[in-house]
Amino acid sequence: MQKLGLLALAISAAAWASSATAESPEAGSDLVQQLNQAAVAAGVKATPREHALSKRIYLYHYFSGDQFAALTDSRADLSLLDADILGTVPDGLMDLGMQSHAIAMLGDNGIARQPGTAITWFALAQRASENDHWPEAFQLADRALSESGLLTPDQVQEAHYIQVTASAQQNQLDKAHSELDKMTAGTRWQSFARYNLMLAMMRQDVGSDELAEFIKNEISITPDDYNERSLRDRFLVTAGRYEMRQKHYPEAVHYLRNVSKNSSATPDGLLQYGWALSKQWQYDQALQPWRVLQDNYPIVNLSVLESLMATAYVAELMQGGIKSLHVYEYAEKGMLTGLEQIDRLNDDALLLAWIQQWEKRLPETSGNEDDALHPALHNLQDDRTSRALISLFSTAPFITAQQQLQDVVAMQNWVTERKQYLQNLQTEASDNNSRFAEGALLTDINAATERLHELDNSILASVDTLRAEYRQPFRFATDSEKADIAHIESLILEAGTDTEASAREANRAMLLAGLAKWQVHEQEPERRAAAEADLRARQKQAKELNEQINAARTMQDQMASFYANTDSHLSSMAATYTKLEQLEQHLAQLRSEQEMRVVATAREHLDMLKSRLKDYLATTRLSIARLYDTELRRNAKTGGLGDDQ
Amino acid sequence: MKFLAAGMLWILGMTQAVAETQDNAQLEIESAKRSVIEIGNEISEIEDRLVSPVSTKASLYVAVSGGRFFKPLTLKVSGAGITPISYVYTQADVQALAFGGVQPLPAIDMAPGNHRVKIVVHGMDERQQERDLVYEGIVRKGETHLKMLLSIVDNAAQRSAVATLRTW
Repeated sequence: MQKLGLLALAISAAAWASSATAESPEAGSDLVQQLNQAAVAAGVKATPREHALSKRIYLYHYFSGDQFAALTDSRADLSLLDADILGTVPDGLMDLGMQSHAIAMLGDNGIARQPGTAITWFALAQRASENDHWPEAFQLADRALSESGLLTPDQVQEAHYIQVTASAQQNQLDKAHSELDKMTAGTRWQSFARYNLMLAMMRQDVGSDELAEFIKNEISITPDDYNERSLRDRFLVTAGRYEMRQKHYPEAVHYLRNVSKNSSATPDGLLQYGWALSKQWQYDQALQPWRVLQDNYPIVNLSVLESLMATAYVAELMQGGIKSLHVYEYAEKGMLTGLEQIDRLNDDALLLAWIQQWEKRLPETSGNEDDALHPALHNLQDDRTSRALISLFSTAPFITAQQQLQDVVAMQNWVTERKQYLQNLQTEASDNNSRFAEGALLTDINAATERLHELDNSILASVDTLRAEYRQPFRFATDSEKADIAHIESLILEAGTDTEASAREANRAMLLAGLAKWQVHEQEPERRAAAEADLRARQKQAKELNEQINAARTMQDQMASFYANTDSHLSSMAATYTKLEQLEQHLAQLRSEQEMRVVATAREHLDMLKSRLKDYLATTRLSIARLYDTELRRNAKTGGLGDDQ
Repeated sequence: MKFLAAGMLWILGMTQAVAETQDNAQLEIESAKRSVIEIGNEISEIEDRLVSPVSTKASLYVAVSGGRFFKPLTLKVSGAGITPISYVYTQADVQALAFGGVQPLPAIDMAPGNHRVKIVVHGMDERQQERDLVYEGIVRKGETHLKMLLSIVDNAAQRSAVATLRTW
């Protein structure tokens, strides 16, 4: 019955693989049916109670968010024979970062027909949108929203957001507006959706008034929250850039002036604000935001680099000719500094050390088994390199590569912990075997058998005693009572009836004897009941002890049979341990490769920065050369430099 | 083992087919994750079947029916000859129980015979007052795997909950 979970993955994956290459797209499998057939073939049997228990254990793991346990807990294995449970597995796989397996399962006819898979469709819609597969994302979100009751309110909003964005990306503005109307006002997802719709409207040359009306609610207040403020500033910067492109400079200045001083959009806002002012011949004012930019942000920031070039350009416009040369030279110096920094960072050893420092921040355990496969992306350390590479962190390739690296590190931690655990299990199994071999259970059984024998004897003795009592004239009398009666009867005999006095004594003694016998007779039922109850209790005790001994003997036989296979058990454990070691080696290699992938991603980003910076530098140097050339020509016409000397 | 072998064959087939169409790094990592799940499953089997005989084991499960009048915070199991079990519930655990999940607790090694078991579930009632639900009684262990289900059931009439234990 084991491995149903793995089999489910395997069959679905095979179905997916075959559907990817199948001649007919209709040729899907039915995983539920196949799994049940396989279970029957393998002789899986379970009572309805065992089956229900297995299902509820799976649900416990699933709903408590421990998808790893849901898939690996052998007590939950049987649940995978149920179609409704199988329908939740893709969701668990998505949580574990196993997207291709989840897609494989959803490609299965048996799963695809299942209700209750809204969360999985939603997660897939998220992934499709992250990968810019918009038509697919729209369809997946639509599928998720068809069972919107299974999604949280936030997920419903995000699904609508995906639909608005997908429509906007395909320039279907009416459809996007219609989807936007379905969203709840004031949610962050609605703001994101409005932003993406704004971009689509810009692509279709939206007018200034319509744009202002569309975004007025988004930009009316400055939120305290950094992320909300960044989104609001992004609206302003994008609207400002758009108006600049349309040559509507006053509108552009209006938007860009309102960008806040501390958000992710501030550097770009400062840069664009300067450009917008310069377009209105406000050169002095234009230099101000660029100065703020250069003073407060790292030189390798793209906005800072562009502002250096822009400063020189505007200085030339302001001062004309050779007087702006020193500003160009200042810009050139700044760009060279930036280039040096990029060259310093563009070093495999330094980047690798930075990435490895980041890996160390991943906690070894967080209490959630899912973290063994797909922990949340961890915060980076705050250092000089991180600050210099800040623009890298918003690039999808880097985030993906870093998340994959973190997954590998988490798996390595899991393997290390499981190796130790398996060693403990091996030790425990050996110790159990040794203890059994010492025969403690057998000794206990023999001692219990001896106790049972003694109990049986005492029961037989009690039965004899009872039988003897039943034959007595005065039953269940105590020894003292018997002695008293015998004594009184002897007094009667001794007294005789010879005289009146002795006859009176004898009568009194007879009265006393009668009283004593009456008392014995009076207490007989109670004493008899107590004696019989005592006998029954001991019989019951003997019966229980007998059952216990029989159970212990059965257990002894089972244990003997179990421990006879100890070598085989230890060898199975050793085989699993070897698999862990092999996986450990494989993960070490994977980690090393993945680190190099992350380094390569970072280097690609730095190369892009360097290339952009070289362009700016070339433009700046050409301007410097042009200034010298113009000045030289002017001096040549007026008699050369000698005139001034 | 038949299952495992069949599963492995399918997995191998899948890996080859997918490798042509998907990002290699992601596939390699997913492949490693599959190995982790497979080995995790094997270790779970080892824990269940190879360390000690099934006949010496007892399992305790916890279920909540209703959940309106009592929300568990911690659970303690004790008894003569039983390794004590303690568990602290997270919000996700409580939610999973409220959705009908059954919580499996670590297996208990138990000798045959009668055992006095005490289970104390500390939690909050409807009015957010702390209270304990206590089950104390004798369970009988035979030669088969003993299974015990502790049910915390709402009693609407008394606006409270009770803990009952069922064994099989």
